[in-house]
Amino acid sequence: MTKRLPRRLVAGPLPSAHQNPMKPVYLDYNATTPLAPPALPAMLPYLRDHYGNPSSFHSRGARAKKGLEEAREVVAGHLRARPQEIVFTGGGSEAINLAIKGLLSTSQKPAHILSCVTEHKAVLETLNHLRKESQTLVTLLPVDAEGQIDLDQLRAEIRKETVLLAFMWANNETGVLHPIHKIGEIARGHKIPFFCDAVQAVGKIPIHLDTLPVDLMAFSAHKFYGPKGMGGLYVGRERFLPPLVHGGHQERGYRGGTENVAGAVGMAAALGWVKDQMGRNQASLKAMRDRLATEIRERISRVKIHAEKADRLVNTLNVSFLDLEGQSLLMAMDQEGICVSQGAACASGAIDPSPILLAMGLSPEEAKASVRISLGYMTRSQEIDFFLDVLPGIVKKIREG
Amino acid sequence: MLLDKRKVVVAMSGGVDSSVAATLLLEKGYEVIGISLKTHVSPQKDLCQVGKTCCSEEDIHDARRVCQQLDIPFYPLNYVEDFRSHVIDYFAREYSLGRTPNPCVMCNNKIKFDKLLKETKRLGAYYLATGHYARCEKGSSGRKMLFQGADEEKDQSYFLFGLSQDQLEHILFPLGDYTKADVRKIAAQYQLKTAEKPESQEICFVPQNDYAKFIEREYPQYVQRTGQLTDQNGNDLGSSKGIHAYTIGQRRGLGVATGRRLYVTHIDPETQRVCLGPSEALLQNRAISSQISWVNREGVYVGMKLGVKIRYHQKNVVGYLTSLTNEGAVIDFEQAQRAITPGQAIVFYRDDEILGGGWILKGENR
Repeated sequence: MTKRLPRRLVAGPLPSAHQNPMKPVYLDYNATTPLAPPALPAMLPYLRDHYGNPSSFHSRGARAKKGLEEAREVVAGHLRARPQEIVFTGGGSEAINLAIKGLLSTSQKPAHILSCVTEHKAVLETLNHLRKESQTLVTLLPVDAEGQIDLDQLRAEIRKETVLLAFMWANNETGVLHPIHKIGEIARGHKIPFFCDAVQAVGKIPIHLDTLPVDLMAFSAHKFYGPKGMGGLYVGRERFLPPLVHGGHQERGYRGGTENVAGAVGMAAALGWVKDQMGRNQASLKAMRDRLATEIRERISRVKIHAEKADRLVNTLNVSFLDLEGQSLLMAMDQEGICVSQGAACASGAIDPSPILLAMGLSPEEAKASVRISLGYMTRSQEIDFFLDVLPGIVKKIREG
Repeated sequence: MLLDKRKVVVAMSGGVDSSVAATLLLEKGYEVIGISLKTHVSPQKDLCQVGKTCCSEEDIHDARRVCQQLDIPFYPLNYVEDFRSHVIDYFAREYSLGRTPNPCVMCNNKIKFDKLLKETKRLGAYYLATGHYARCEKGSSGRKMLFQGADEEKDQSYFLFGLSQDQLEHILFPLGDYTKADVRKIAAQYQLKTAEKPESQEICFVPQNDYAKFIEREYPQYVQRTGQLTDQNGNDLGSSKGIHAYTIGQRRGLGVATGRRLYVTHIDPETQRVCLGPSEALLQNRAISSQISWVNREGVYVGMKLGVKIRYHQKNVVGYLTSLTNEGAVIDFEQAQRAITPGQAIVFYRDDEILGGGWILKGENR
């Protein structure tokens, strides 16, 4: 006989969450974002009616193909690229893999890649893989206490074997922006391809690929209010990459497999929406973030805000509450219905101390005491109010515990 | 801070016991939060085939799935550093000192019922619960009393001797009155994902239970290969693999062929000598122990007759508390015991009540 727990025992919000009038308070937009309002309605017809295979000969397939190619044109338009330069992928990590592995496989050997210690795991692990598999040489530039690289050092590390520069635009944990234009110019000067992981940048800062000296650029829809499992790679027109996924002619041979039409349509709709938001709400987003920083400092002692002097995303605040463990804070916050994050989750979901903060010279204790707060265009000032009301008590409780 | 007596954190190992513990607490109407501890990173992670995860990750995954079934919050916490410094370092160090450690007791003392208990209180929960088979009740004097679990086979009170009154006030053992068979049945009734999960291996952080290899790989600084194997009279029987690779009472893998059965009877960290002898040489009737802690010291007196366990899988034997000082205790056994092993826990009982325990320094004959 199967037993079930009575619902009243297992369900229902936690008592403490009752005090939170707007649960959940979601301040983890760098992890992922809710769907942009126009995205779902744009996608639904492609899930319900236009379900044809874009490769099919018949009109149902053609209808799907139309949606796919329109989406590509819209995405390209928003990024100021040409449609044939946009390859749709199953997300940011896939785009990164396609770019780096593809570029390397067409390069002379021995090959050297220049990148940075604070890159996302998708880049670092790919480089690590290449290091092991094909004896690729990898140099990772260090960062200073503000998470910034030194361009002179970058220039000095370029060798005749260097086949790729790989630098992220915006850091996922600190929001620090690398000087992509300057890096790109250095790359052009040396005639070295430049790959930019723009996963955290697209939807947060304007991207003008027509004037940007990058050759490859990865992006991910769910970071800019689009659906998960959808991303893309900009491949500058003179580039040729071998496919990462073999199996068909789709995506001009870059990626075999039937296309995620609804995903592409959703991504295009989200990108349009977010561009509009950026134009109108960037200042208020920054104001909310800055208010958070100011009031956290006022209300809580022993606080360290990271990369504050660096050029960084206006939505991101990375802060250590010294003398506590961030994981305790995250848990207590979640009990209050507040979603924030920390460091790098491992396979089990447990949090490891952030290698990014460690690279910036923080001690392991400081890194473990860190919390990443990231805001988005759905964030309301009442959420910030609630967060600021609750936070000092929780920090105090954990420090005293 | 005001703690909520209806709120409980359950330490979820990913096994069937803690899964059912959480379920029983929900049945009783508690607000339950599941927490799993990531305690170690598999040293073989790099060698793992693609698609495989290390055991610790699998267990955390299972715990998460059960919490999802129960519709309760679940958090995996990273305790890797604390576990290393308090449990794994201790484990390796003890072997290097010629002792046989008990990491489960240490994990209970320093990790689960210390750091995690503090974490529990920070969450505003009054109680921390685990899936241990042990019972805790309040005595007439108001003191907490800890008893063996109802399932004699599974009783885990041996590992809990380090608990204090303060800790017990905040601990629940929901499985104390149940047998393992009951627990499996309850898990099946609720169709818990862990209902048919096999028992866990003995030491969670040692792959294939090969602790010597583990120490050689992770703590090479503790490995000395210079020592000798000797007989009872000090005659050389060959070279040892290093004292970390031996434990009192061990017969297998000695690499000595003398025609009669030999056992490890003594390990001397000073000279790195491992002494071998016949089975009879393992019998001793006195245990000297240190760092005694009491769950309940009421009614304990020198000369008292006790039930004693010197290892986990053993029935209580009769011993007398011959001496008790701040430094430790001397227990004299009614009948000589086999392989009294330095480093193991010695635990004292009054019938099925666990009174306290300590760590064995050595066995001897009075």
